[in-house]
Amino acid sequence: METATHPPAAPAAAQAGAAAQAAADTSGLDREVLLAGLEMMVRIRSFEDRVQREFARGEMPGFVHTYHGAEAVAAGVCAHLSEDDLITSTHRGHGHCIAKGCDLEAMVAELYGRETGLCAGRGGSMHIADFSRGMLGANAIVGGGIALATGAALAADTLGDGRVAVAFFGDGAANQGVLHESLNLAAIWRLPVVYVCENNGWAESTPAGYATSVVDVSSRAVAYGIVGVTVAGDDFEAVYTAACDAVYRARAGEGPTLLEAKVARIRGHYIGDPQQYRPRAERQEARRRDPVARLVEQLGTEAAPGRDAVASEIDAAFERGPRGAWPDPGTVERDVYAPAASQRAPVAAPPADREITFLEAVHEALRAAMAADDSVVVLGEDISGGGGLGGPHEGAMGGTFGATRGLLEAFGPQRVRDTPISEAGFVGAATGAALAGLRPVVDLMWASFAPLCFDQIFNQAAKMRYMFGGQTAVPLVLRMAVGAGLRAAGQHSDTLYTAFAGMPGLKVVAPSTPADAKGLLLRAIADDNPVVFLEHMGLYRTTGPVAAAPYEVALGAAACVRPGDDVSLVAVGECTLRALDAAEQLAGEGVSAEVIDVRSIAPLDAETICASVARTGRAVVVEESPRRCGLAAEIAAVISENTFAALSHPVARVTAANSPVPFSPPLEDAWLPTAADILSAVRAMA
Amino acid sequence: MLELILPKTGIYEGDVTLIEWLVAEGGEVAIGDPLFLMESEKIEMEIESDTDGWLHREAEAGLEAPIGTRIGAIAETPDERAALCGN
Repeated sequence: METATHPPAAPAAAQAGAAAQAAADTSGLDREVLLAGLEMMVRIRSFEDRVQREFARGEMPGFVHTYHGAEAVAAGVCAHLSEDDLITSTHRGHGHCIAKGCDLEAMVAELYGRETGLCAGRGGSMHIADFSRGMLGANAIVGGGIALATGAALAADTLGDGRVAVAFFGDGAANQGVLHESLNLAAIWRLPVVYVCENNGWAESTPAGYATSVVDVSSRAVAYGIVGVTVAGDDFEAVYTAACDAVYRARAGEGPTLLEAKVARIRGHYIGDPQQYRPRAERQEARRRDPVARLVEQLGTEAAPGRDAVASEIDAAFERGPRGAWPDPGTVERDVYAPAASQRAPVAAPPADREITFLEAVHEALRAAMAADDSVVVLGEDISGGGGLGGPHEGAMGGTFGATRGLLEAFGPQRVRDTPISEAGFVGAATGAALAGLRPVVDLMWASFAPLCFDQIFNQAAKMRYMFGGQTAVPLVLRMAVGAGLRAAGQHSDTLYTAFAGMPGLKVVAPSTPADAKGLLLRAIADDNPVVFLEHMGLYRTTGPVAAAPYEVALGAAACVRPGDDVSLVAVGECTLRALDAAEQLAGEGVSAEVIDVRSIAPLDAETICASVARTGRAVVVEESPRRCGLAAEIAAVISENTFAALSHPVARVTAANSPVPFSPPLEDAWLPTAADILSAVRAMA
Repeated sequence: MLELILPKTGIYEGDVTLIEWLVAEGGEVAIGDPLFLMESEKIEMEIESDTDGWLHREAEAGLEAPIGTRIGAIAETPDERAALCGN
């Protein structure tokens, strides 16, 4: 196969001098480079042959996808990377691990689900990672690693540390939207990233010729104004040379490359795949495109250098790896969250010295966090506005509600980035950046937009620490506006409390006062876990006393905001104001209501909530999501489990209706939980 | 010599069945050639040879057994195959 370049390569003389020089240096590669490449390819092949054999015996749990046929790609690309450079990988990721230097025994132990594995048995083959080697994880979501690598490159670019990120993915991922969002992001920001498509012609059982509209995936680079190159992926020299150019381009600040390597899938999609969907002749042809055999032939060598050493290395890994200890079942919930012990105590709040709005409190928190820590960056749609225009226009928007206004001027465009409307792309990039040294705060505008990036939040950010055996923290904050009452209707009003709180690995916060907004947001930014920070639109203009100096409010702590003896009103977010309103009216009727502001939805402060209910004997849970499977159901269950003996009445729920949020004012008013609903619930307990 | 076993072919970990040999005893096989039919979880599949050589069969069609059970071998030479037969 000839190397194809999209757009067609400029004449060498017209290229940047250094880039042309780098390319020239690799033409006619030294025999030593080729021999080193062959040794790596043999290491990968031998490992995968052994995996195939051992898997068949039945003692390796789950299922496994081997890297047979693509060895030249991992070897040829990773040869240009240092240990500090970062890669993301795929479900077919063993080759990437090995080429990036992962320990073979710890890899084997992981495939067998052992505590001694790279990820302590929490990840397995499809989620194997080694952060000490810059290997940011295999990914069982097709295309799942692409935005993460983009974010790793964003971190490298922001920190100016010279690292390069590489996203490996298959041709199946070429049709995932997140690839296209990521290519565009990397192009507009000229990020140091290389997108490597290992096109083996099959997305599981679906041929690329059927599923992909172009012959060369690299031709899609044209759509994003970046360089696209296709090489024969079974030709080590071709891959090595093209990767050299691409990595050089990234390191030189010349932006991303889409490098496609056409490889043959020598084996099935997974070990044991009967491949009935695949013509025998095509499979035989695939076996002939063997990169290891090709390089051996090219070198005219009888045996790869170090073949014996590689063999004994692999024997040793398979001898010891499967004998590692099983994880202790008692540790099943370990490493879901970064431990509290790794974090300092919250900075106590000084006395509040003036009244500001909730929105100003959010802004103050962002400004204080950015001033205190250079690794804090904010990004999102329209957080500045007027991008690139300069003058009075750039920065004039300052976010949909104005929370980020002034940050661009104070901290510059590297740390305050407007994003295109690419939720999966930029939330994934923020997650990847959080893995690579930044503490991103993302403005997602509305929680109703979160479904556009659920994979990035749910499968990536929330699960990474756990799946990778506690190797990494994910210090990421996702700010979102929530709530009805502003006539914004169905797709701009959701709270999605249970959607977020139901994901182990996420923390979820919903403040109701300006003071808590500032303290909780500062604490969320300091937390080493992904925190979903939900700001109710109805609260933005409310005012309250707030200390000017930075301080923190602990996550996971509810607050008693009005003491009482007869009934506990357990409220979430803006519903706290309705509960306070109801409590005031109840006082007029001689009923003493205690109001608990939940503040932190995950983790939930069951202790404070239950202590209140145990004392009053009555509980009304008030929150703004549809009743069915809503947050109130969870809180009511927690109360019932813990305080049943003290309850004089069943726990009552005051929630929104079981419908999307309607537009028409009388309908929306009927949808919302109100103080009157709370009063009715309490009176029914008389 | 490469040992032939009833292989694990997916997530299923229960017993599997050797339905039918597709190569005669002593037959020469090449990598990728179908060797036998196996049933796993009611799905029949052809198991192919991972190597070149001569087949030695040690189990009869119809055998239902756990994954990992040895059912034969691929010898590297006809002589090695003959030795496996004990003749």
